[in-house]
Amino acid sequence: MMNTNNHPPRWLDRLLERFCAPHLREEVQGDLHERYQLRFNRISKTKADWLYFRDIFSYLRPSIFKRRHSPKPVLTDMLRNYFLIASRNLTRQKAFSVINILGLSVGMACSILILLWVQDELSYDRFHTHADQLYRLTSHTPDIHAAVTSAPTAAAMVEKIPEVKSAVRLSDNTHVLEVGERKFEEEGIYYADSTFFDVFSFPLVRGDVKTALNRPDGILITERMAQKYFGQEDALGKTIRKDNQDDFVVTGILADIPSTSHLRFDFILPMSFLARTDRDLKENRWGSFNFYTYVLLDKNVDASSLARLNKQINNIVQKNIKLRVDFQLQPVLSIHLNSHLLRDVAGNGNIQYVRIFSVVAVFILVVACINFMNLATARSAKRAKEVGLRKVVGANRFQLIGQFLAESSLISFLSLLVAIVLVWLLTPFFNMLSDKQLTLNFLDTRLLLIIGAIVLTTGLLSGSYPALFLSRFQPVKVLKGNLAVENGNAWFRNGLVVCQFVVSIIMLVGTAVVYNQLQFIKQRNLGFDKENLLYVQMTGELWNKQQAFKNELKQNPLTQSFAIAQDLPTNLGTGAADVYWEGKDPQSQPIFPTMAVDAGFIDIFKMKILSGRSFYADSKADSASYIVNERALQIMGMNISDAVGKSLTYGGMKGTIIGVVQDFNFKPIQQSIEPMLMHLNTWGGKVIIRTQPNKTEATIQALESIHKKLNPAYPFTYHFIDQDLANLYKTENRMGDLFNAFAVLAIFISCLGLYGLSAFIAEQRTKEIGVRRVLGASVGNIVYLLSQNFTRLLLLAMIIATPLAWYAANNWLEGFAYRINIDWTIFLISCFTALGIAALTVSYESIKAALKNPVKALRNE
Amino acid sequence: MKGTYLGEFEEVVLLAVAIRSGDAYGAAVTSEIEQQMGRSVNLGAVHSALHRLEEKGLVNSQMGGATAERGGRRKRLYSVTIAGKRALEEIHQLRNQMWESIPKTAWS
Repeated sequence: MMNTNNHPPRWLDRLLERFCAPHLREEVQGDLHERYQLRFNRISKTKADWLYFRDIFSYLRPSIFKRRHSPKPVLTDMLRNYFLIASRNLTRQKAFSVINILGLSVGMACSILILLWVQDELSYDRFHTHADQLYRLTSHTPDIHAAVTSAPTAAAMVEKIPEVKSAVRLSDNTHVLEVGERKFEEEGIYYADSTFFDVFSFPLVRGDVKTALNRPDGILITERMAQKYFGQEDALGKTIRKDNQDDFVVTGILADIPSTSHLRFDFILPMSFLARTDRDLKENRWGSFNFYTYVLLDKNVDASSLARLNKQINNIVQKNIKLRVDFQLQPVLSIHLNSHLLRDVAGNGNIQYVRIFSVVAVFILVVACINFMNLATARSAKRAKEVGLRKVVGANRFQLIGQFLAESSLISFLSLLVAIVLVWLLTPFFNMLSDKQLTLNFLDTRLLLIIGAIVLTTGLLSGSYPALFLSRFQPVKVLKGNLAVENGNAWFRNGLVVCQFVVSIIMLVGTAVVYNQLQFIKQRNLGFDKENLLYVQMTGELWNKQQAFKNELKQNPLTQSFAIAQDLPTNLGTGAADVYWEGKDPQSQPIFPTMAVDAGFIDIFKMKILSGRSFYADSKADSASYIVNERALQIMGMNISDAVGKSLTYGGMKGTIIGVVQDFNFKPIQQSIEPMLMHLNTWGGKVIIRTQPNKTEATIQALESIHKKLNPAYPFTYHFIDQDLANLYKTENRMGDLFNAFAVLAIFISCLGLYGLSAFIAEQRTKEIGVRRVLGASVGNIVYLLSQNFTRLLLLAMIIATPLAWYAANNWLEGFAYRINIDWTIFLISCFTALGIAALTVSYESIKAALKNPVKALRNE
Repeated sequence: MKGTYLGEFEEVVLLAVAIRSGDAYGAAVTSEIEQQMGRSVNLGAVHSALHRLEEKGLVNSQMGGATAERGGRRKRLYSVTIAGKRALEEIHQLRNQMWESIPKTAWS
């Protein structure tokens, strides 16, 4: 009889379920319930409940608690076996293992270093809180793309465009700063609006973000500079004197600017201070482009509304000036890698190099993986018996694939450990080459993930072919002993070797091209003589005492050949659109870079006057005289013969062309020569001195004493023109060095693999070589026999690599206006270098095999 | 050795399994013992004994049918193995042998 209430107390059931071992539960609970029903029907519920309780407690014994052991998996035994076999294989053939692990770890170390570098390049400016809302306003004309805009633009944008939340103007300057005895010329000085901290997120260590830039006589300094000027003292509230006249109070101390900021500075001065003297600011000039303008946009601004904003900005500016200039907002995040504008902040990177090195990293890793695959497949015959036996005792294909993949992952993990040590050792050297402060940070999860991915991919990639290939063996054939190494195997192996050498040759050609181009830059005739030129910035009182200064210079034979100019032909940042001549097409708006120079300039720089004359010394008459270059003549449609004497208007000043100077480079060689207009320097600038050969030191001393006499308040600093020029190509030089290093490594890894392969083949053919020797083959014959195969592969690699390398090199060279032509000798030299290195590698083992006593090879069967 | 010794309660349980042969599961064996011995027995003790017997190889078991009283749970049906049968016979024989050895005078 069933009753709805005939169920034992639930909590007791749950208690039982808790302590009773799962495998006994059904039986025990079933019996208990059966007894309960019996008692429930025969006696009463209370009694049955009580007895049920007693029964449950009678089960409180160890035999009931004890969980059944989960069966010991056979897998762990198998895994142990896999490890055992893997480690035996590693130790049995030490040479191969070393080649494998060394090759892989060098490859990985390279990839990790490149990864660190790429990550650093890509991380620029991301530390700003609103990094993706920050933009810089840039101005564009068909000829000129500049990072600067005019002073009133910022305020107008904030006022008229609701999406512009905030804007800040920056202006960079060089000043002499002084605290007590410490006096230095500082270059990293920016004037900034008080909205600086609304836009950027540079952290302030001391001081208040809200008020730091409010005082017109406040100054913000970095911790580094606080240390430099004030040592251990608290810098906040202290006074710094600028240019020997203005006192500033330190209102805040900035944390040192992260190396991943495109803006590099050490001091921030208030724009309100500059506004007292600067004409652009005082007169709100729309036509003068001298300020960097950064804006913070609303969160909701996306790519499509950006175009609309650009249009709005253009409308605002268009109302105020006549010039046809197109304004564009440029994301701050893309400045470091994608911005190469006129007057751009210095030291920007290049997305092209990030791409090149990412490809190089992959290449090197692939070359290292190929080594592993090659050696593993080559040695597959040795492991064929193992595979056969495993199959006979029941291993299926997937287990075998798993085994081989696990083995290669193990090796790749071992290589990673070696690689990490290598990275750790090489980082200082790499940092020196790349001019960065990179460290392998193990707390960086993203980095760890990527490294993990590299290891796994390397393991799987390098293990994939051996795994698939070996697991295909038919046990009967293998164990019978006649393993016919399939042709496909050799084909595949050869393909991989070709692949490696294609990469190596491309890298070699790349190295040669980069080297030649850099030499070309160094040795190129710029149109002036850059050697033995040094210059001094005219600071402080030097300009007021100009005449005395000139006299002093003239009196000393060491310094008597000098010129005073505002601009140098290194990386000229000027450009004028208001140049008019007879017959100028009113539609066209060519930009003329301008230089303010004095009479001595052309002689000092050893430039060549093609017709007419240079400026006259101390001649007020030449204030409306202009010298143009050949390119300008082309633009203006004039000839060298008739240009002199024609009229030309610049900056509203009508004058005449008095001379034509031969074209010379005044910008980095990536850019072609533009039309140049030189006018007489009526203001300060730089004093350039041509020193006599080998008398540079004496000249500097002479200059210093003159400087001390006339301008004692300012520290004496000097620069060399040729060093400035070299600095322009620092990035290129650095890339050249890095590329060299990686090319060498790629070749090294390839050769390591080739060496392993040749050693293996020599070993495999020991008997054959023995027989040949006995029958009278010479050492030369044997070496030829063993090397001819590789030679053929290399020739094939050359044929494949040449067009690829040509394409890649050409692509890179296109970035230079003045470039070398890639001629066939580069390819020839690269190919023969590769061939030579490979031949050396292969011949070592071949010669060793050929020289072996044939008796030893044939003795034992 | 663990396998050889048979405790008293184990012997009773083993006998009950033999009696209930074909339908010997925990609850049934317990009722059988209770009926035969006229005293109440703990289910837990019986189960524990059954498991010990199984470990010693004297009984074996398999899962059987389910009933409504058991809430649809299956029974574990035990049956005496050859070894179990031999053990019971040995005990029986031992007892008999001891009975035979009692001198008649002992009962006086």
